[in-house]
Formats: sequence, C-alpha cells, structure tokens
Amino acid sequence: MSTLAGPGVTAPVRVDLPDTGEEVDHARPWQVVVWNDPVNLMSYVVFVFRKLFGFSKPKATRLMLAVHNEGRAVVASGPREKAELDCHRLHAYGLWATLEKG
Amino acid sequence: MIRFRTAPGGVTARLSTADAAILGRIPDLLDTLGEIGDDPAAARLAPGAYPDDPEADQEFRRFSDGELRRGRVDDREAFLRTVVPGAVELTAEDAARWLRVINETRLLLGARLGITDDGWERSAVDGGSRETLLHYLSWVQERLLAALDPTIAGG
Repeated sequence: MSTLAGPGVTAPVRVDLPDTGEEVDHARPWQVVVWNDPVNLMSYVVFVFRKLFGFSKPKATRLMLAVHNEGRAVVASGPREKAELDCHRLHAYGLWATLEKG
Repeated sequence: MIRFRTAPGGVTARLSTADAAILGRIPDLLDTLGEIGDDPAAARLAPGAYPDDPEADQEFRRFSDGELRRGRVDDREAFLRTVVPGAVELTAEDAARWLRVINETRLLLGARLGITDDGWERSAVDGGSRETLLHYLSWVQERLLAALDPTIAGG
C-alpha cells in the first residue's frame, strides 16, 4: 500500500459528550477503520476483505483502493462487540484496524 | 523455486528443498518478537483498537492480545507441518494459515527495517538479509494469492 497515515496523524479528535444515552449509541454505530500500511500487499488486503466479510472482489478492491489512496477507510460498522470482534479478526490477518464512534 | 497451482478447494504447493528450508525457519524468527516498547514489530502486530482511549484499549487487549498470540502459535505449527519439499495439497484453511504466517513475518521485518513509506520496494532499504527475505516472502505471498483467487468465497 502507499503512504503511511497513522491514527495519530489524521484521526479526528473524538469528543465524548456526557449523558449520551442508549438511543444515541444505536444511532451512531461503531466503525471499523482500516489504515494504510506500506508493507501489506494490495492483493492480500483484497483477499482479507473478501475472506472476512464475504465482499465481492470488486467491492473488496474498491475498499482496498480507498485505504491506499485516502490513508484509511471504514470497512464495517455495528454494535461495539461486533466491531471489536471484526477489529480483532483484522489484526489476526495483520491489517491495521482501529475503532471509532460513527 | 516455489510454485502454486489452483486445486479444488485450495491450492497445490510445490516447494524446492531450498524453499522449504527458508520457510521452515520463519517460526524461529517470529519467536524473537519482543515486547511493545522494545521491539517495533510488537506494536505493529498487536495494534490495539482505541489509540485515543487507553482504558478502552486495555480492555480490548485483555481478550484480543492473548487470542492473537494463541492463533499465531497454532498457525505456525500447522504451517511447519505443511512446509516440506515436494508437492503439498493445501486446503483453503491451510492456505489462510500460510498467508497469515508469511504476512506476520513480512510485518515483523518491515517494522524492524523501519519501513514507513510506500515505494520502499523500488530501492534498497538496507540491502541486508532481512530485506532479501522480505522480498522473497512478498513474492511467495503474491503467487499463493494468485493461485487461491478463484477459490475464494464471496466472488
């Protein structure tokens, strides 16, 4: 993949508001963000997206290119537990993933 | 010269004695992984999920880091069993283990070589044996992915 853009470089500042209830949590799911990495092969990143999320090759390729060109891309979102599991599975394949409130 | 061919439900790998020797030494290299703070590869291989929230990150790591280690040990053991000279049938799961082990090694090498930018492949990083191994593993991974491509679920 191309230029390196780490979480500390481009991640927006997350603001924690007090008294955010369940309703707000449902409205704003957790997002799984994959960051660009200079070592992972493009073909490997496409493989991982297809394998883990069942994406078609064109969709997986589109997401890989978004990571490559923009430095990051949201590849999945949902409740916190599911997002954490997805993040962990991506780490197991060596992808650089973090979580953000959507 | 290592070769992969698409097979029903997986791939057939054909390894020379030299390939099997090189790949067979990978698990020992991965065993040299140090702690976060001491070894640049450690943070890359267990990056955590919440870079801006230490408390949530610690909670995430409580389940994730141990699981990553256990999964990687299982992968290495299975990988070693299938890295032998001659023709080897790899199931989709075997192939996924190969890809994870090879990728883990590439990330470890990349982190220790201090690779942070795109385009490092086009010029020498340090010209040493780690860089040679990294390029070799990139090639092996690319070939394995190409052979596996028609078998991947998801279209």
